[in-house]
Amino acid sequence: MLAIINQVFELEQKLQSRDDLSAERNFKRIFHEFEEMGYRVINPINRKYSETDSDIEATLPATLNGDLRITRVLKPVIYQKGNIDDISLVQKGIVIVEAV
Amino acid sequence: MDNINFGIDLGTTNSGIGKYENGKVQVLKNPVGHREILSSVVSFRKGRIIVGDKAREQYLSNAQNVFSAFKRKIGTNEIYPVNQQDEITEVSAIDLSAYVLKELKSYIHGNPPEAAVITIPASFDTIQSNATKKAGYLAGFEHVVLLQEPVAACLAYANLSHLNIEDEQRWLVYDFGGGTFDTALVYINQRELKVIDNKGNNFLGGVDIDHAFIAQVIIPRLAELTGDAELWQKVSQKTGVYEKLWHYLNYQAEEAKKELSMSPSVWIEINFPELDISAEFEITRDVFNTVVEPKYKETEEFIRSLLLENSMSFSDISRIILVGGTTYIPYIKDALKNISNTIIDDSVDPTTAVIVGAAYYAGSQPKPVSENPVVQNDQPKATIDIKLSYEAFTNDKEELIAFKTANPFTGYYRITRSDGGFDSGLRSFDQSASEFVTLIPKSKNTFRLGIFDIRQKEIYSNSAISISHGLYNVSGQLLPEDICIELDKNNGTTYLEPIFKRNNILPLNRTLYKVFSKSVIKNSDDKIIINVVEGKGGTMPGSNLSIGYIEISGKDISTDLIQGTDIELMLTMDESRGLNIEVYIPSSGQLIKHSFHISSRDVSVDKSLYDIAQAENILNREIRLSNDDEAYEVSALFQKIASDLNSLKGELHAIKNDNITAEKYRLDEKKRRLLGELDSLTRARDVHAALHKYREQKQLFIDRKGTATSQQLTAFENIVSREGEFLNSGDKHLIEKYQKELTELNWAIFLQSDENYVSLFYNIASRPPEHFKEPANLGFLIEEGIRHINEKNYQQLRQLVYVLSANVKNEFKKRENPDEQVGGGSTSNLGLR
Repeated sequence: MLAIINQVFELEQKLQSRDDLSAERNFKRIFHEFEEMGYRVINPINRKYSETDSDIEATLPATLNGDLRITRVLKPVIYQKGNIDDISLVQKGIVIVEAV
Repeated sequence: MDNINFGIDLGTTNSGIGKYENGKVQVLKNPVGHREILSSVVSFRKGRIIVGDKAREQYLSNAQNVFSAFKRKIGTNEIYPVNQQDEITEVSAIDLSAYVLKELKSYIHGNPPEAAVITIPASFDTIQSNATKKAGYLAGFEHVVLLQEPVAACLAYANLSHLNIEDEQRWLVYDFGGGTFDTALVYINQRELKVIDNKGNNFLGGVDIDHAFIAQVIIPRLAELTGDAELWQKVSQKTGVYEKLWHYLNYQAEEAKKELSMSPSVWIEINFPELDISAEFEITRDVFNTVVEPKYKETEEFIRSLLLENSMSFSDISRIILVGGTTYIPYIKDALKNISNTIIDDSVDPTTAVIVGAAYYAGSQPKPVSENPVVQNDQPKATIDIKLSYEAFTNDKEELIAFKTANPFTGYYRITRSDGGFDSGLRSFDQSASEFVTLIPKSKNTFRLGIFDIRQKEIYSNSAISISHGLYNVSGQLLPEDICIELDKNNGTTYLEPIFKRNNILPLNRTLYKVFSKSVIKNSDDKIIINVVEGKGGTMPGSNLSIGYIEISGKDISTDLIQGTDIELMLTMDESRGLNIEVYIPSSGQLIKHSFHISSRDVSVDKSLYDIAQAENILNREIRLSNDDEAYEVSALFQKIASDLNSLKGELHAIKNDNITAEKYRLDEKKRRLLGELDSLTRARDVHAALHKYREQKQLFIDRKGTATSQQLTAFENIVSREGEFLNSGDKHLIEKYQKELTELNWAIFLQSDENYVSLFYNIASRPPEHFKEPANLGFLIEEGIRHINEKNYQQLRQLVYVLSANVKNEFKKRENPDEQVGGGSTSNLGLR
C-alpha cells in the first residue's frame, strides 16, 4: 500500500513541477480515499526544519545557519490510523532541507 | 530461573534489539519512527543528545558533535570532545556505545531488563570485549553476556531454518553491511558453534557502492543529457545547489539499487528544476553490476585469504550465510555461488540476522547470579514529584509542555509523541524545563515525558500527556450538534451520515465523494435532493433540522446525470455557522454553489411529506409487530404518532402553495417533533439489534479464523481496530456497515472450502421449483450435483453451484439483512448514495 501511495504522490509532484494542475481534483480524491483506508499522507514541503521532528529523514546543508526549511519532499510522511485515537507513523518523510 | 531473553546487535553502522519469548524471536521496533534498525550515531547539539537517524542527519552540518563508527575505537584511549554552548565536555567510545544501548532499551515495553546479550565482532580482543561490557553496564544492565556476531548469525539461520546438523560442518559468514565488511569461518556440530577465524575491512560497505553508482553511472548519463561535462566535479564539491543535487542523487541511487535487486532493469527519473534537469533513462542490472563487481572482488579477496590461511578451500564450506543489507544485491549472491558452488543461505533477513541470533542465544542463557564490578547499582530507586503544565486543547501547530520539580534535581528529560513523529532527544533538566512540541493537526496527540537521573536511568515517566489539536477548544467556537447529510439506502429509505462531528472547532470544511443513486435526464422534472441537517448521525432524518437544502432538477443540469457516476460535495461551515455547499459533477464538469444561513433556511413541503411517508411505513410495521407481541401500550404510542402525522399531512397539503406565511415552518417543527418521538421509541432497540448482529458475525469470523487468508485477517483487524469509532456511536447504520463487511468476509471464507459447496448445493437443491427462473432442467442438474459429491469432484460441483445459483430468482437470493434488497433492483428517493 505504501508503494502505491508513494507513486501517486510522485505523480502529483511531477505534474505540479510542470505547473499542470488539471488533475488536482483527482489527486485530492485519491488522497481522500487513502485517508478512508486509514492512511494519512502529509506533504511537509516548506515546513521549518526541527531536529525534534522524527517523522522525517532529512539531508541538511553543510551549515545550519539561516532559516532552515524543507525544500524538496522525495517521500511523504504517512501515518496509519488504528482506532479513533491511535495513529502511528508508518513511513518517515524523506526530505531535503535548505537555508532559505 | 529466568533467562536473559534480550539480545542486542551493537553494530558499527546500525544496531537493533530482539526479544526471545515462547520459542520465537521478535525484533523490537523503535517507538520513535517505528523502525527495527537504529543508526549507531550520537549527536550533541544545544544541550540535546540525540541517538539514531536524527543524529545521522546532522553528520554534515554539525560534524564536530556527531559521532559514528565509534565501535572501531572502543577499548582505545581515544576521547571525543563535545562542544556544546561554549562548554567542552569529553565522551569515550564506551559512553557513546552506552547511549546507543540505552536507546535500544527504550524500545522495550514495561520494566527494563537487568541483563542482555550483546554481540561483538569476532575480531574483538579482550580489552575491546571488556569495554563493550562496560558500555552495557553504563547503559543500566546489571548482567552482560557477549556473543560473537558470526555465531549469532549462524544461530539465527540454524534456528529459523530448523536445520538438523548431524555431522561436523564449516560455514562461512559473509557480512557486507552499510559501512563495513566482515567474514568469518564458523565450526558447527550437533552441540557447539564456534568461530575459527575471521577477516574484515572497516571501510568497505554498501555506501561505497552507492557513491560509485552515482559517479560512474548516473552522472555520466546526466552529463551527456545536459551537456555539462564538469557535472561530476561540481556535484562532488557539494556546494550551493549542487549539494542539494548530491543528496537528491543519493536518494535516487538508493531507490534504484533496491529495485535492481528485484528487477533486471530500472528507469531512473531525474527531476531537478533548480538546474533545469529533467531526464529519464534506463539502467540495466548488468550496468549496475559493473559498479558492484570491483567492491565485491575486494570482499572475495578477504574470503580467499581467510580460507588459505586456514588451509581450506570452498569445498570444505557447507553453507555461506549472508548478513548485512548489501547482500540483497543479486550479483553478490550469484558471484558467491559461482566461486563456492555451495549453499548460499539467504533465508533470513540479512539486516536483522545478528539481532535474531543474539536473542535466540539470550533465550537459552540463564541470568547470572551476580556480576558487574564496574558500576554499582544498588542505590534505592529515586522518586521525583513533577508538576506539569500544558494546554490540553489547541489550534496551534506547536504547544509548550512545561514541568518542574519542587526539590533540587539535576538530570535529563525526554519527550516523545506516541505515534513516533516527535522526539525531543535527551535534554538536561535542572529543576524546571519546557519544550515546544509539534502536533498532528485535527488529532489527539499523546506525549510521554521521561525524567532520568544523571546516569540516565529513568526515574519518572508520564505517558498520559494528551494535547488535542482542533478537536475541542474552550475558547473557540464549538459545533453544538453533529452536521449530517441525508443519503439513500438500498431499501428505499434514507439515513444520516455525519459530516462534521459535535464539538469540532469552527470553521470546518470537508469534501464528500458520493454517487448518484438514480439517473436524471436533462430538462426533465426529476431531481436530486441534497439535504444537510443538524442532528445526531443515526437518528431519523426527518426528525432533524434541515440547514441546507438543494434540489438539482433536470432543468439545472448541462448533461444527463447517470446513476452510479460520481458527485463531489464540498461543504464548509464558517465560524458563525453559515453553511456553504459546492456541488461538482465530474462527468459534466458542472459546478453548483449554494450558501445557507440558519436564519434563511428553506423548508420544502414536498420533503416534509416524503419524511412523513417514510415514517408511516415504519409505524405500520411497528404497530403490527407490537400488536403481534401483545405490547398494546407500545402499540398505542405508535398509533398516537401515526394519527398526529396523518393530521399533519392534511395541514401540509393545505398550505402547499402558500409561500407567504410562516405556517410551513411551524408544521416543519411539528413534523420534526413527532418524528423525534418515533425515533426515540425505536432507535435504542435497533442499535441493540445491530450490535447483536455485529457480535455474531465477529464470533463467526473468530471461529473460522484458522482458514482465513492473511488479507482476510488484515481486513478483520482493520474492522476491529475501528470498534471504538462505531460500537458506541448509537448509529445503527454505522454498525450495520461494519457488520456487513464482516458478513462478506465470513461468506468469502466459507466459499474458500470446496467441501462447503456440498451444503450450499443441498441448500439450493432443496428449494421449491418456483424459486427458479428455469425449473425445466433442474432435475438433471441436481442429479449431476449428487454424482459430483459422490465422486468428491468438488471443482465440478463448484461450477454447478454457480449455474444453479444464477438460476435462482433475485427475490429469493437474500442472504443477510432482510431490509436490503440484494439484486432485486434498488430504489432511490433523494438520488445520492
